[in-house]
Amino acid sequence: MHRSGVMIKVTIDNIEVEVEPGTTILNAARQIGGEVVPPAMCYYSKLPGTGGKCRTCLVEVAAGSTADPRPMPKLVASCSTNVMDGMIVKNKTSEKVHENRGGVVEFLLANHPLDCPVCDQAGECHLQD
Amino acid sequence: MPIDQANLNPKYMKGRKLLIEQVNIPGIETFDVYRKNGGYRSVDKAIKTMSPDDVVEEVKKSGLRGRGGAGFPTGMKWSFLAKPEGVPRYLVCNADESEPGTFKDRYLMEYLPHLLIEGMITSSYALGCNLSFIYIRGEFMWILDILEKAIAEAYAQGYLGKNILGSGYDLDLRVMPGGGAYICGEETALIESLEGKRGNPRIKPPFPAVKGLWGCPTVVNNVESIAAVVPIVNDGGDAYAQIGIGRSTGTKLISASGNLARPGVYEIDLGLSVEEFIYGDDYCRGMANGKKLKACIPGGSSVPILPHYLVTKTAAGEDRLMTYESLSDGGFATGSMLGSGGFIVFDEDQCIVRNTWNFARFYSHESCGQCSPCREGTSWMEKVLYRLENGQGNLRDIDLLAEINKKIEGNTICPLGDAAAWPVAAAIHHFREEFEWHVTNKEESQTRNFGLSKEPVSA
Ligand SMILES: Cc1cc2nc3c(=O)[nH]c(=O)nc-3n(C[C@H](O)[C@H](O)[C@H](O)COP(=O)(O)O)c2cc1C
Ligand code: SF4
Ligand code: FES
Repeated sequence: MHRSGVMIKVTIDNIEVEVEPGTTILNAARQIGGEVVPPAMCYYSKLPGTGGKCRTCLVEVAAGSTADPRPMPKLVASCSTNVMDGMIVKNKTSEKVHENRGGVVEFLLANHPLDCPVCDQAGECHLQD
Repeated sequence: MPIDQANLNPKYMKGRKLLIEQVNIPGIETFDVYRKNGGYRSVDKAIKTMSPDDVVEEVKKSGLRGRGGAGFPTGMKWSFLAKPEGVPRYLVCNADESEPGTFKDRYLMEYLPHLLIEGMITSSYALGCNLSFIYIRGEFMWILDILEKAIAEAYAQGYLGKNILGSGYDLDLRVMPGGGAYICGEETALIESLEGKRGNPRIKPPFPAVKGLWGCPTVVNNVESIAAVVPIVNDGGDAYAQIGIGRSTGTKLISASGNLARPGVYEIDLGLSVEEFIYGDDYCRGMANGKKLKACIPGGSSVPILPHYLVTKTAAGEDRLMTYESLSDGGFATGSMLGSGGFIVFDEDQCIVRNTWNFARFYSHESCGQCSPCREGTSWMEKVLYRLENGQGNLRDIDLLAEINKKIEGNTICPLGDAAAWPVAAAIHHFREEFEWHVTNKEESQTRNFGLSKEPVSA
């Protein structure tokens, strides 16, 4: 990632943050940290091409950008959607996100072995959160 | 289902035939006969007298909408194609036809291979492609042979290869067989598959018009859309736009199947009434064996099912027409979609629960498994529907299905998730009574069918 100097503003759950162009919503949220970070189960920052599959990181985009402030009709995967200047994202604050993320986790658990004690991920698992 | 050739004689169908007029001419699958009957005129006309942009302009004027299912205007799609300098562009014909209830592309390619090839040449010229592909469903191996033979003839006659008709325009055309997965009909999965990878849909954006095959701008079009370019260039976009109603212009191939007296592939003018299509002497001639119509899926397995009282009339009591608009009149509550034109009709002896289960099984099998809602949701729905159909369900299952549906819809990478969810949602919406009957009359439901559903009093 190279520094271009130009930063763009994005608002996630009413918190504003400045990031470099080309940052994903997920990584912008990680810059804020804490509660506003969506759970991400199939994205690993060091592996190119990951993300977009598990759909746990879905967020609502209430306004696309300053230039085009229309909301996006569907929830989007925050790990594979880049931020735009003036974008307004709702994660914790969105009812829709809650509902659908709950659904996704339910789907994941539907065929999940639940062998938590012997699992490498135990203790650091978004499914358990 | 075997297609009865006698049933498909265009002479017996009303209206103008732009695509399948010549299907019964002996030897039409050979270059010579096809050429003698006016074939390849559109290539002559386009290459000798029109610029590529002129061709795109005619297609725009024609109002042609993609025949693969989504109905996106073809001319507009073409004009979105990015044209960076020094980067090749590709045209890919989507011949992966595998939507249950759809078999029109197969018919077209099997009997009129040169029509598709002619369309490919004219379209490739319009888009400035020098290498184009026909991605054909792997189960259609015998059609692959037919197409390759026809392509070899076109090469021999100077319609393909270097310097076509002395114009300086070069085009190579390849046929690629698919591996036999429904999902490879989704355009980005198709591109992945063409590149030699597993056919998993890509995350969009970027769209293929910007970054498609091997990262280059690509247009993917259905077989019928490409074939329709031939009459559009021959007669002009305006002439094509005169057929049809409103934004549904031209003719459409309909694959009619199910309990009809005369199923088969029909070319209709868009705007024909559904009533006439099902009962008219020139078309399906009503239901087989004098049975009553119970339900109809007008656009292939992915579109909502309509109960008998909403097939020929909309909820507002207007005649339902075979157009993109009229079939979707009423939205999800009382409408459906034209989709790919896979017109499936059910008579009173068919079980909606069984059919819904059958489709759910199909989608669960065909889900590529990339994203969780579709992978888990489709197989869950399949299991619940299996229970219901086999007399092991309970009333909660019906609400459970609706709930699973809501969680899939809109949360997936590609539209297969939605395509799996809608038919189930629609079946429950219109035939809830029949689903409940399967629960409350477990034993009876294993031995006889429910019959027609009652029209809601308020409707
Ligand atoms: C799961 C899925 C399967 C599809 N299968 C086909 C197919 O078999 N044939 C086809 O032409 N389009 C199919 N499509 C639509 C294509 O993605 C694409 O929209 C179409 O080929 C575009 O062509 P058109 O604009 O000429 O309609 C499918 C889409 C999805 C989501
Ligand atoms: S919706 Fe289904 S078919 Fe489409 S990408 Fe996701 S898992 Fe694959
Ligand atoms: S982290 Fe899995 S879809 Fe974004």
